[in-house]
Amino acid sequence: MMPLGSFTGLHIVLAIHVVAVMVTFGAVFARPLVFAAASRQDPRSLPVLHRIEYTLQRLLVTPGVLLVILTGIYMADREDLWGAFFLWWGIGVVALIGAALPTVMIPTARRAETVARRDLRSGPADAIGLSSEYRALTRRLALLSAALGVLVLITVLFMGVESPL
Amino acid sequence: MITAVVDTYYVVKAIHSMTVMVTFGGAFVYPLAFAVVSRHDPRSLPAMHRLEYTLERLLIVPGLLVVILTGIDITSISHHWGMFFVQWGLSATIVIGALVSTVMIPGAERAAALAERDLTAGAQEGGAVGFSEEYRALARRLLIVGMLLSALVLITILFMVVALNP
Repeated sequence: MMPLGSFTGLHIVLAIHVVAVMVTFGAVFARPLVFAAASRQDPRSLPVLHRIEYTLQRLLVTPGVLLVILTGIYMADREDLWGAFFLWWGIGVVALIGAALPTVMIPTARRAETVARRDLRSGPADAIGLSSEYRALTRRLALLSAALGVLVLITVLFMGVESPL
Repeated sequence: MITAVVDTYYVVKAIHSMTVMVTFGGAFVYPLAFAVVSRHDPRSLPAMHRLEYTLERLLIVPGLLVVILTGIDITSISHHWGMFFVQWGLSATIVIGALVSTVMIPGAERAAALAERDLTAGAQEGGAVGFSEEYRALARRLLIVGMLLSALVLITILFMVVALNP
C-alpha cells in the first residue's frame, strides 16, 4: 500500500494551513490553565506571563493569522469553494480575531503587565495583593480569549464537517 | 447554508482535530515563552517550569488519551486500520505520551528545583541572578526534546492531511 498517496501542491498548502491554525491558535487553549496555576502557585510571575501573552500575539498570532488567511484563500480559489458557508464563516472568524488582537488583546495584556508590576511593587513583601483594576483587566482578557477559543473550535468543527478537503 | 450530512464519523473527527489543537497547541510556544522569561524576568524561570509540568500533567496527558480514543473510533468507522498514516499516528502518540511522562514532566520538575536553588544561592551571595551549568544543560535538553515532540506532531499532521485527501 502506498503510504501517502499522490503528493500535490494542494496537500502542501493544506498542511501549512492546518499547522498554521494549530500553532497560531493552540496557545489560546492553554491560557486559562496557565493563569489559574500561576495565580495560585507564583503570582509574582504574572507580569512576565502577560508579557509572554502579548509577545506571542505580536510575533506568532498576528503573522499566523495572515498565513491562515492566505493559504485559505489559495485553497478556496483553487477548489472553487467561494459559495460555501464554512469558507465565509472561517474568513469572518479569522478577520474578527485579526481585528481583536491589535485593538483589544495586545493593549489590554500590556496594561495588565504594567498594573500587575505596580501592584506587586507597592504591596507588602510577605503578602501579594492585586488591585481591582488588574482583576478587571484579566477578567476581560480571559473572557475575550475564551470567546475567541470557542470561535476557533466552532470553525474547526465546520471545516471538519463541511470541507471537502 | 450547511449542506453536509453530519454523521458520527465527522463529529468524532472534528473532536479529534479539536483535541489535537487544544492538547499540543500550547507546546509550540515554549521556546518563545522561555526566551521572553530568560530575558525579562529570569527570577520567574522556576515558576515557568512549574507551569510547564502542570500543563503537561493536566492538559497534554489527558488530551493524548482523548486523541488516541477518538483516533481509534474514526479508524474503526472508516476501516483504515491497514493504512500507514494510522500506524504512524498511533505510534507518534505513544512516543509523545512516553516522552512527556518519562522525560518532560520529571525534567521540568527537576529544572524548577534547580532554578529555585540557583536563585536562592545567588540571593545569599548579593542578589545576582545566575544559573548553574547543571540547570542550563537540563533546560537545553528540555527545549530540544520539546521541539522534537512538536516536530513529530507537525509531521503527523502532514501525513494525516496527505493521506486523508488523496
